Amino acid sequence: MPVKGMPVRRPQTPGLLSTTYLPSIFKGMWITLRHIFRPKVTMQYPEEKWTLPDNYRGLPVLVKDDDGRTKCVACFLCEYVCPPKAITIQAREITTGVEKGPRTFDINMLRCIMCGYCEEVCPEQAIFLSKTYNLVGVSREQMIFDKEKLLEMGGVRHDPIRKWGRLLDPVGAARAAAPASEAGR
Amino acid sequence: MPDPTPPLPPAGPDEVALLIDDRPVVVRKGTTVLRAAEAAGLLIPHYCYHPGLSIAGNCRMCLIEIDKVPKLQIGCATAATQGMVVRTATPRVKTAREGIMEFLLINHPLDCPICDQAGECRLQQYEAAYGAGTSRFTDEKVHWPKRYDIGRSVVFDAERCIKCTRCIRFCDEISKSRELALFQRGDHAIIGTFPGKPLDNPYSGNTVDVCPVGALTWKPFRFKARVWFLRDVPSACAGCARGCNVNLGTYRNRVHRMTPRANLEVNRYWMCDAGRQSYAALTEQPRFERPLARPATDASEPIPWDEAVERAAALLREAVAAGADGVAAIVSARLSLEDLHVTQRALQAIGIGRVAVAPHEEGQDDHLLLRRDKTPNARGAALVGLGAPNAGRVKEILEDVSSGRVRGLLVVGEDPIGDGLIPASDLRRLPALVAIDWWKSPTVEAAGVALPACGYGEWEGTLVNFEGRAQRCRAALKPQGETEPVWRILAALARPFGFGAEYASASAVFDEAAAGIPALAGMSYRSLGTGGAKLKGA
Amino acid sequence: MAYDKLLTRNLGKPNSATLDAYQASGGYQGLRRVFKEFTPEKFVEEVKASGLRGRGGAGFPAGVKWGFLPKGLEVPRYLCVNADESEPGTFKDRLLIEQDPHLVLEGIIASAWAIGCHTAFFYIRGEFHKGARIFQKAIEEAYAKGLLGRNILGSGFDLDLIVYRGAGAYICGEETALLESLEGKRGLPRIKPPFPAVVGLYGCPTIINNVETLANVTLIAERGAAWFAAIGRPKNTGPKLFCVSGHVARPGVYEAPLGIPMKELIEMAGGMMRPDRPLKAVVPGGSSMKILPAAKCDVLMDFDSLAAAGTSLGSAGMFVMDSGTCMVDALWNVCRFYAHESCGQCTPCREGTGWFVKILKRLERGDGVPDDVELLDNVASRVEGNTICPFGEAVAWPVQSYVKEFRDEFQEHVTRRGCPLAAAAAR
Repeated sequence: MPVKGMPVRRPQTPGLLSTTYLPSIFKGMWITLRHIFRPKVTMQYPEEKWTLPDNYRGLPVLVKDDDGRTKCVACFLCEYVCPPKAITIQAREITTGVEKGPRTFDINMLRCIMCGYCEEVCPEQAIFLSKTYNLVGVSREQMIFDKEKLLEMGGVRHDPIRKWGRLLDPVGAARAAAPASEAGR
Repeated sequence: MPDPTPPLPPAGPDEVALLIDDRPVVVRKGTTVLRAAEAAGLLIPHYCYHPGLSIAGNCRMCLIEIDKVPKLQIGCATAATQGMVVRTATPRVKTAREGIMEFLLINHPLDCPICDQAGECRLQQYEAAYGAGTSRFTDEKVHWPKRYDIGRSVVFDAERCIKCTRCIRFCDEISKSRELALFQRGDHAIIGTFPGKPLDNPYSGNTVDVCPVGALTWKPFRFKARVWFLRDVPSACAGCARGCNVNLGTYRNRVHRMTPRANLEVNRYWMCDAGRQSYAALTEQPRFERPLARPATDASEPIPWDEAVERAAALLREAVAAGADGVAAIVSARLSLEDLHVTQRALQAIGIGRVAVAPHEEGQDDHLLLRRDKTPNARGAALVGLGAPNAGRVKEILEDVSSGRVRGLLVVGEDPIGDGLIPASDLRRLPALVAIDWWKSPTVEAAGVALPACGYGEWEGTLVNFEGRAQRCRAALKPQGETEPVWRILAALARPFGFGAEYASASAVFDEAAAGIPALAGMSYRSLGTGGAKLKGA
Repeated sequence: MAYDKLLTRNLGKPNSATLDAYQASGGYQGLRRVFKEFTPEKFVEEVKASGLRGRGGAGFPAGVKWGFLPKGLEVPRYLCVNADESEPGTFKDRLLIEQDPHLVLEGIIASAWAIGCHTAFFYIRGEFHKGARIFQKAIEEAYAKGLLGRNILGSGFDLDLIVYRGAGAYICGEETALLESLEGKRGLPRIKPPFPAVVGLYGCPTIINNVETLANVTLIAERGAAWFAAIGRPKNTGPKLFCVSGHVARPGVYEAPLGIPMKELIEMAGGMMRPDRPLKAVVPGGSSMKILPAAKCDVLMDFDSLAAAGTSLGSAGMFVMDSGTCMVDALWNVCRFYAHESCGQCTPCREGTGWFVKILKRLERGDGVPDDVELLDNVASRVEGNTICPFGEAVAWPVQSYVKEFRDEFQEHVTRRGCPLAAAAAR
């Protein structure tokens, strides 16, 4: 079967002046010249740093409550929800207060994509995305942040709701352990 | 326009036909509506009903509407009758269920983040399916002790308890140990033990299984893994001759719990605590991962597999050459049928005629599951021709070892030193001692050549229980280190002696065994399925 | 209206609880007559014909209940006397047990004979120390005189009667919980069916009757069904003990034929306690029955009339409330009782009763929110009818009816942040 061609329209042959390239050169020079007098926008990082927006998603960190208790109870929801599987937790039993907590809590920051799912899923408000973005290290091992490091980065975060209040307060805990009484009625 | 009611199917003399949500069902007389609905493929939600326990009817979750009956009825206790018309999803039923869910949750601590049951909790499941999703309860909840040791291995959280009394009924009816009871009344009712009588029966773990919520938790499993990470591998317990059907809950190549798998012909819904914890040995006992040889010096050293097999074969060859009477084998009835079958054939090829299968007995048979015979495959050993476990023959062989009459010994999966049957020095004196085991037993350490085998949970195979039921154990874990299944080790060991058979898998070994052993005729891994099958003539 | 007292005829006489005094006033003549003139089957028919309805609360015809016993079974039959009178506002059985035990005993013997029972149990509430002692003594007297034991009065009929003292749980007044308790277990109601008449005590057919019902059987034995049926109103026959308490001048037990107007009964009890406080409401049948506001109090006190008025005669424990009564407080009190007495077996009652108390406490203390009134009603509707035993209704009915009849007062507790009556009293 014969193939039918399609005609292509080319631009007209350039004029004499255009062939010297001078108009284009001057046009470019003019643009450059103009920018010399405009205000500078380049930020001199790391001497200068960006002000981050409130909803910035940096490295995930663990926080403690006002009493200095690690808020994480090792429920594994962040490990479960984490899309790149960056989180690895081992739980342990605690004999006072809330009975469960993390023995180890590792986040592989090389895997972490700062999506914030962990913060969103956390039922204890124990993990937050910090504003830290400069992630440096000299080995892969260094990029796996353990519980101590994550807690140090997170610090204390005030929470008006004391979810486990009764168990954390010794009087309330003792009352909870008392035999059935009419007091609750 | 109302749907025309479907016609009732014909029912036999011992049967009744009824309609459940317009689905016709025929069931045996006396079947409850809940079971009939199950047969029709409908779930009537329930907490207190358990197929293995008596009917309590106290959770009220299974309320259903029956035509011509004014009040809602509970499906678990109402017998199906001929022509009954049952509805399980009317607005009335839905409101009642929503009410029950709300009632159950008003005094529930809602501490799912720290609760081991989360993920397999009936409260979570039913609240999502039938609940209102919100609570109107704004008052202070009733408080009770949390984390209370109610027994050796069971922890009780009274706040999570919904008083379905399944655990009480288990202890009353199944274990017959009657440790648990309901104390107090009203919303202060609490499950408890009697003073000085903790929940210590040998089946206490089942109370944790039957608990539909997180009130009872199993101490060894507490906080080990969230259940949604666990992969349940159907298998059979190798703790005793019963062979309870189990699920191995694995996560990150480790068994974290063993739970009973319902099999009405073997263990019903239950298993013993010892069996439940039997997986722990794999991580608690020192593991033997690479072949060892003990040349002239006293310390064993790891060597490559090929060399280890060669040296073991050489040791045995020398011993056999010195006289077939001077060589013997002690084989374990804890091995799978496949292992034992290849062992039997390999021993013939090597020329070892003197074989004893070691028995392991402890305690007594009890009223429920526990057997005195702690070997899971004694019937299998007899079936493949190795003979039934016989303490006398083991003793004879070991006496001959001590006296020097036996110069070569192959020990497969047994530990005569650890069992106290022979002093270590006597075995160490043997010119040819080849041991195969999964852990670093004293016998392994005394062996001239020791070959590492897969442990329980790592191997695939079949066990024949005391009733003559062949049941499959599935591999749930990757073998640790360089371990191999016993059948493969023995096939390799016998190859220099002219043993020609090659097996691609345990399944192929089983097929060969089934072809040669009449009691197994026609069986295959496929036909055994997850429930196992009785031997021919058993 | 001239009315000779029948059930309370011996009350106030000296030594009324002794066998001698009872026989002196013609006691045990009825039993002799029954043995002589009837066969057991005929006597069951006689009781049916009398129209005697159970006095325990449900008002089920006693003779019909007896007829439910399966025939031709080779197992023992039991008669359990329900003397676990624990409904708040009810104290009629206690009076009979303490003052005239032989009237009850005669009825027990006649009934046991009629249904073919040779071992009967008298399940008496734990708190009734005195009643249990008196009744035990009456039984011993009866044994000594051949009224119990082998061959009673030469009739060839054997009967043993055992007094069993409960431990004071309200729920053990429910017949199946009573049986569990009697068997030595925790008093938890059983799932019905099977009904006790088929599978009851120790798995055997069992009849459970109230003390007053059995006292009425004595009357039928003495004078016959026709005489009995002439007392009261059609289908609501016989004399009845009414326990009138609350804001009346002379609270107490009053005997009257069924169908007496409620107002007349209040007059018998001396009228209202304080003339300046008019009648506000009446609970006619013990705390578990629905409340009637004063406007609906022109009713006859019998099973059918009260049912038509939307409540029930129950155990005829009638409490009268005057205008000084706070309905929220009254309901809170009722609910505290039920929360304490709920056996804890099934979910709606176990959790619902406690919830009622918490809501009502809030309302009365002034911490209620507008939705609370609706919430009470709605929670009650989810308890009612969804429980194993009638306890669910026993708590749901008062809650529903108090809220329905006095909704404005409940709302006022929310809007005024507390009890208006308590505030008025404080002023």
